[in-house]
Amino acid sequence: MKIDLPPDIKIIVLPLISLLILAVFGVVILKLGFAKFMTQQKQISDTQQEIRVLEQKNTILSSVSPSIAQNANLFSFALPGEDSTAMVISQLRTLSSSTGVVINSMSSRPNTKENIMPGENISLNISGPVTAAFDFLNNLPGIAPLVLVNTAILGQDKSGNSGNSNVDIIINSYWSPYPVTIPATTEPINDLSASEKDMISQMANLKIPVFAEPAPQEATSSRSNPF
Amino acid sequence: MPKINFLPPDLVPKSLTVKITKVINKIVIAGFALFICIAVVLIALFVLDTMKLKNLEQNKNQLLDTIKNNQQAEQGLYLVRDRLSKIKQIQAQNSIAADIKVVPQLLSQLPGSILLTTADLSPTLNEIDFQTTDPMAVSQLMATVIASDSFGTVNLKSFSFSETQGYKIVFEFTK
Repeated sequence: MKIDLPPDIKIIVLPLISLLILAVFGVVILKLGFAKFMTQQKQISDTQQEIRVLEQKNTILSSVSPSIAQNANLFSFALPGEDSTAMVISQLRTLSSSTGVVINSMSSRPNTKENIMPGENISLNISGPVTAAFDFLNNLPGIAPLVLVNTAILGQDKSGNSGNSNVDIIINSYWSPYPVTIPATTEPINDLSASEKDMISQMANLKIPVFAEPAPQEATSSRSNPF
Repeated sequence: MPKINFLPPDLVPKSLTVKITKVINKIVIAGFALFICIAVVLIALFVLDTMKLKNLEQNKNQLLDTIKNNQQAEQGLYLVRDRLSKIKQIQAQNSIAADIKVVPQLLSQLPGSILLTTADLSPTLNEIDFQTTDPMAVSQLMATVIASDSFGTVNLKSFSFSETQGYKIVFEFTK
């Protein structure tokens, strides 16, 4: 069926439809195009930001790299990841022999009073000259694992040896589990602050325990190999 | 030659309609041209940005690889930071580390006739007992203790004399 439109309408219909199509297409396509453009701009700016973070991280890691492995080892002795009592006792024995005092008794029990982190309360009784006893006490903060000297009661040696002292000492030793995860690679990191570097240099003076590796036992038998 | 319209007048569109149609046609053509221009610009920007993004991604991946190669240093740094923060917590606790250094310094300034009989050192209070038979040493002890600025407050807790043991002086030092 053919619709017979008036000539005024007939002449204007096609341009109007073209205009409408152009407007619809123009709005839809340009809107999509701008949205895509904006998304891409955001991606670029996010990636540039990530690169800045990574560059800073890379610079920091390259600058700390040579020394940090050594420091990490030192700090794992200063504050071990698990019960440090055996190491502390070993250090106390070494310190007593180097300062010339005798450890008469030693006992330890879990530190339940302070809950900053797990630890042990080590009580010990030493005897020796007053200067040696103070030397021993003075050297306690310099051992690794770190200990806090809680109390010290110095008195005359009960054995009657004049000039000798007897000291009851209570020290706290600590440990703390190592971190199990590290932040994501894209997470920013900060360089060590001046106070942290200062603390690292202080910790470098700690006396770390020496673990002697037993030498393999030599064969004592003089029997020749029968095979 | 003059234009002659042989169509009947009611089949010829009005001149206003023809003018409007021409304007609409011009708008459509101009709009289409503008649309094409904007589309070309957008496509060009899209291509350029895609290339830029690709380069940035490459750069980022190279940096990530370098950081992964330095992972041991990162772990070390993280461990050191963790330990440092915990050591700070430990060091913030009360201890007698400072007092242990002060007492031998004090003793070194005293005459040999003075004997340190007891020293009770704790984070809050220190009590030190001295004994001597020499009265001159007593005054020297007093002068040394007063001059010492290592402790906050010095209390003379007790002062006694017996013929057998001599002078017994007990100081209480608070921080």
